[in-house]
Amino acid sequence: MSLLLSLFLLAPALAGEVVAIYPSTDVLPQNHLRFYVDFSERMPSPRDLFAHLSLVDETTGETVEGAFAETPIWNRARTRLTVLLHPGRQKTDVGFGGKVLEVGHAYTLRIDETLAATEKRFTVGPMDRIQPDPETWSTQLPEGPEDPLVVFFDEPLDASYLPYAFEVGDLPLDVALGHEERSVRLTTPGGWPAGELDLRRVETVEDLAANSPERAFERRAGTSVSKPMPFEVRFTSSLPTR
Amino acid sequence: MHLRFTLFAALLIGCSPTQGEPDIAPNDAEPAPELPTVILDPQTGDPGLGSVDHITFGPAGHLFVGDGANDRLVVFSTGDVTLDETADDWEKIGNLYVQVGDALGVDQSDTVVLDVTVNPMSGRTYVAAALQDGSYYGVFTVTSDGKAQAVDLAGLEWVAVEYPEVQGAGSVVTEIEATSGWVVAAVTEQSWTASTLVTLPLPITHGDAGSLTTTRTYHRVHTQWETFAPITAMFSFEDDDGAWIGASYQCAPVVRFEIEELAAGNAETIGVTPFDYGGGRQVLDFAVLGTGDDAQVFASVSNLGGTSIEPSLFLTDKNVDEQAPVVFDFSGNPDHKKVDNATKLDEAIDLAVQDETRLVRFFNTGRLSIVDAPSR
Repeated sequence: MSLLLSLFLLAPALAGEVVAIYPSTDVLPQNHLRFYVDFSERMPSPRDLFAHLSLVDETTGETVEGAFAETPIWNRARTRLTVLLHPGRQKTDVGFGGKVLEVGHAYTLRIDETLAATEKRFTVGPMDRIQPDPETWSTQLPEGPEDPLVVFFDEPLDASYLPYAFEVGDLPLDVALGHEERSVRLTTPGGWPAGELDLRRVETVEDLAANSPERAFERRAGTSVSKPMPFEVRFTSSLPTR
Repeated sequence: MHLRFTLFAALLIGCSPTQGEPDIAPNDAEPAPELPTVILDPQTGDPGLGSVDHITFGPAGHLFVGDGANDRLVVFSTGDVTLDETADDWEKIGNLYVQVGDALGVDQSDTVVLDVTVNPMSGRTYVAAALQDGSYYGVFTVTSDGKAQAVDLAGLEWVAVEYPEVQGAGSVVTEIEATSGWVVAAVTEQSWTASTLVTLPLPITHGDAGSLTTTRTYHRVHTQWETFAPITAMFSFEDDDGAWIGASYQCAPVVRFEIEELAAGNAETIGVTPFDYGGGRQVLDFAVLGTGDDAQVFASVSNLGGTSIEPSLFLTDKNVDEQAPVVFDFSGNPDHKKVDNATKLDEAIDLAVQDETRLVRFFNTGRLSIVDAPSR
């Protein structure tokens, strides 16, 4: 499947700048796990990479120590850095020093000028232990061949999964993330062909706390492991009438 | 001494080793061992590495390289199969970043060392390194006089095996172990969510496809199943029950996976967690000295320093839900007697076995050293 991820969160940037930070929403659950920092060009990965990132609790004015799992994960093009909040702290009762994020506090994720000076501000809400439920998702079906097919979710979803989550028959898809990653807009080069088409979820998705439709992020021993949660919509595409 | 003389003689008659290749010298005092076949349909020329995330040695001097940027494992036949008695003469290497920088003609601050391992056949130390801007990835040997020397990978025979990747953006190979006819690699993707292992039988044919299995493990500290647990350190071992992999994570559990189960090709493999270092600790690397009941599994652990573990600690009932947690805390609890402190490891970020009694340690300061293995 050929995919093109269109980013439209921030204006075009100069070379070496941060062009997007996901999640784009400014309210995150206390058990939030991942930020994705997208750069405008291939970036260096210094040995002390995480010395150039910080998380500041604006409510207390203090830097959160030990906030990150300090393993650099870059994409192939070295344009996206995954910043993982330490799972030993974000998981329950692991004992790495308590949650990184406090409910009700405001934070700033800061990247210094060695990489590309930028920051993301957010506040923290309650833990999210509820799995995404495809039965609550809705769609906006295309009225013409060039119209996007939009899938709306019941909460912001993790940005790294969404480009690969859906297919419509065997058509190549262009996938654009919607506001706060609460939706995706699907189009296909040349427009939808006439006839019946099937939209299906083919890969997993996760919410900001890594819960997926199939399983909760944290599972007590003895609880059910997984169950299939299909998402399928059949729609009819017609040729333009004019 | 004999090997030094052999090399010197070779230089005198104009047969100097090719620049960039290990300065391998035959040991004519011993008959050449019969070596197993590890790669089939080998290729030559530029292997096109997109990254060198991790390196380890398998049988017969074969170097396994994790090329996560291309979702591949690449196996090189180094030909470095003869014990070099001078291989550990590099004690005064000083800072490895400086040596790699010198070899590449760049400042040490531009270099990154990604992994350190030792070829068990020759005793030579190998280093995976890169430039920080990602424009260069390569493998170096540490010469007996303490220099880093680039290995001419394009001059070696190699094979590559791709593994599937969901998110299409490249992956990172965090660990590789070769054991008992199999190679197992831990792989993580951009989202960090999945804990996945690639398992391949040896010999490996160029162009083979590796299959991924997602792992699920029981995490004793917080009594939960883990799937979001990328593996960051592994070792391999064989006992009377067969070959198995020990794996550890960003958090502190150590999990046992049977090779037989990994090789079955199932979508999910459940590991057994006999042991946990407790909250606030992370295994940085493992190294195993010896075999069978006499073996010691060493672990360099953050916020602890190091431990020496009896392999018998990894023998455990598979009904993990009913097991009481075994958490290492140096408290004197009899349940913990199979784990000892091993302070010489000093939170090294890489460990490798130099020989029967010594370990190579690498620290994030760039320091590389050989140390006698901590005794129990």
